[in-house]
Amino acid sequence: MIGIEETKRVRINMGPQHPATHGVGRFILTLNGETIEDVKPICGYLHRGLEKLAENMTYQQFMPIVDRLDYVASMNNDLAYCLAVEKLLGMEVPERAEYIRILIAELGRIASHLIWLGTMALDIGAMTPYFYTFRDRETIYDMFEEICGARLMYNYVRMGGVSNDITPKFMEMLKHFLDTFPKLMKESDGLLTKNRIWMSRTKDVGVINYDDAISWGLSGPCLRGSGVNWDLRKNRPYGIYPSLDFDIPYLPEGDVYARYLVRLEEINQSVRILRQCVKKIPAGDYMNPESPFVRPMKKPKEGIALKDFVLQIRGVKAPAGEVYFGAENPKGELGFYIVSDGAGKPYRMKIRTPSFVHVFALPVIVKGGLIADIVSVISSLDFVFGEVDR
Amino acid sequence: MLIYVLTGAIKLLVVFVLLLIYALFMLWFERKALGFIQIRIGPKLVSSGLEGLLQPIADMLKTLWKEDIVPHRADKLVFWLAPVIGAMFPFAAALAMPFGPPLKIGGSYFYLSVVHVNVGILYILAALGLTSYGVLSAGLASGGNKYSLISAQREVAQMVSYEVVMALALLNPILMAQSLDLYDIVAMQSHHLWFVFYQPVAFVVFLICMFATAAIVPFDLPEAEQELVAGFNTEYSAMKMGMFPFGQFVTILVMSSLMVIFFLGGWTGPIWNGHPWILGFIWYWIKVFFFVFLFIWSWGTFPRYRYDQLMNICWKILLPISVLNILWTGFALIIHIPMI
Repeated sequence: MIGIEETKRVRINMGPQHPATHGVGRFILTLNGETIEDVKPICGYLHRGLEKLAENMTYQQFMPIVDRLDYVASMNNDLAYCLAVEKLLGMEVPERAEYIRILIAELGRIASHLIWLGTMALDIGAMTPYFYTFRDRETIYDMFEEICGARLMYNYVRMGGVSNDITPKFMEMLKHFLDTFPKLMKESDGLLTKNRIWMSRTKDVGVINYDDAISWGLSGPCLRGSGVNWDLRKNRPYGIYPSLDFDIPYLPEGDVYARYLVRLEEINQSVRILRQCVKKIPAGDYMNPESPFVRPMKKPKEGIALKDFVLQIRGVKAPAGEVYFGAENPKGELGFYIVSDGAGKPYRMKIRTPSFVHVFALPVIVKGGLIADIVSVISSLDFVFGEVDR
Repeated sequence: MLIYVLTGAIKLLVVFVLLLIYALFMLWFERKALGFIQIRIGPKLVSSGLEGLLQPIADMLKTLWKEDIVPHRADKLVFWLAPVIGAMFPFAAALAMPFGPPLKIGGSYFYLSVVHVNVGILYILAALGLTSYGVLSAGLASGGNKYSLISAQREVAQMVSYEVVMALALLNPILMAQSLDLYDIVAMQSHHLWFVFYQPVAFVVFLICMFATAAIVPFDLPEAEQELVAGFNTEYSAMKMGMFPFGQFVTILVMSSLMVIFFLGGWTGPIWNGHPWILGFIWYWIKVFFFVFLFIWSWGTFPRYRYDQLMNICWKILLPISVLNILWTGFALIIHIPMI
């Protein structure tokens, strides 16, 4: 009878180089057989000190860096940051710009959810949906390329509007996309949703209940997957969302399958929003001409180089005070808390990213599961390490 | 006596070369078929006129010239032996596998398998069972790599689960044919209907076990790239790593031919049966390659099971079903229910 009482725990280092951690995530797992007894997430491998960088940059200089937060949904990051700064300065945005913003934000949401769907299917072992979703994401990125020239880091939304108007070709592409995409989406949907293996891998796995989901600060689809009907687009509406007709999907189960279904339904709702926007989009300015961020060089009557220079160096002086703005991003609530002391640069900027919160809720969710479960839970929480480490 | 040794040696050589060509073909076919499923082109640049048919040769040359890294803490001998075991035993199993219907030359039969033993199925099952030792020893010898260790642990759990059920599923056709000889089993089906019509349950059970044996996607648990970073493969490089897929492809072929022989009538066809000989040959390989394609099809379609779920399926569902099925088959044989 030697060694029977001496069962040892295996500690395994998952990441930072691991195919299923979606970036440079690192998790130290304590295993009993294959059962997970403890998970310790470690972050910081992608730390770039964005919050500190913001303190030494003017508001418009920080714009391109915001793209690097959640790099699969850059448009949404831009929008959230611009809305925060606009709230601080009390700026107005023309109506056409508001519509363009919602168009690209919802396209960004679909693109982000498509990447999530593909990688989640890949993590659970189904290779094929990955290629289907990346095909559809490609058409969205082509559209983004058409309006701003960039495919990943757009820097398109600006304080006071958007950087340039959408083209007729973009509208054509968008209409074509809205016609074809729901049918194409059925391909991945048909491969996975009612698949027995898929259901047995995701149902009752990684359950987080209503109260825990709230107290761990989850947001976005992860929160709604636990039965909380909370979406900032409805609950703290911004932009033209109040005038649009859409539903917030939420399911009470709180498992991986519920989060999966919630995200799939969100894609459908985004398509619905896009259809309404395409119908209603008005003509007009795409940028508020009174915006202090518009460089004087671009206003022909005030072609004074000095003003341009001053704007570049000192930035736009924001009133002293503090402001928090949270936007509903594909991953969850992306919030910017800006403290201003009246200078052209923020005194302090705190970025509240959903992924950071989700990573640290992981130990609660997967405890007692198997190694295969942690992989599906990680992909269902859908975090991006650009956001976690900032 | 000498003539037997000589024909045996020639057959061995021919079969070995054919299997190598088959494995290289499969490397191309797998990627091309997956490419078709996944709306992409697949290998194309090497020999673009032949749809990239020579890509596997380029791959093999590349693999041969890679640096062969052995981990410092690895058990050198076992580490070296593991890929050999993993590739050798599927080849060994293929020795008893029929490559077509027997040729009638004069009064005697010429068998298209290297060895014709009257307990062929026992030999094949034993050889395939030993294949697992390749993965097992690869996992254990990889110098304390925990991912490889878990992979080896999964392989054992998987093997223990499916082997029993697979043998029980094959027992039904064996009972009906009253023989362990693969040629006899086909001969029995040429006089009656195919066994799949008498034994649909055993057919389905064996179909599931087929995927588990070859470790193809719903059950590729030891490899599980997204969980265990390719598991037992993790520490291997160069040609040692290249040998595992070779073994896997040959396992796929052997399992497909077992499936065709036991349940789908081997070289008997629904029409144009038996004569001339070449028709039987064509029927046989059409059926075998359908199942080979089925493996790749499943690879491109299904997600992966969890290993506890595989054990649940095998022990709690398939095993009781198989036992009941055998009881029914035995009962039916005792009371002499006539076969159509």
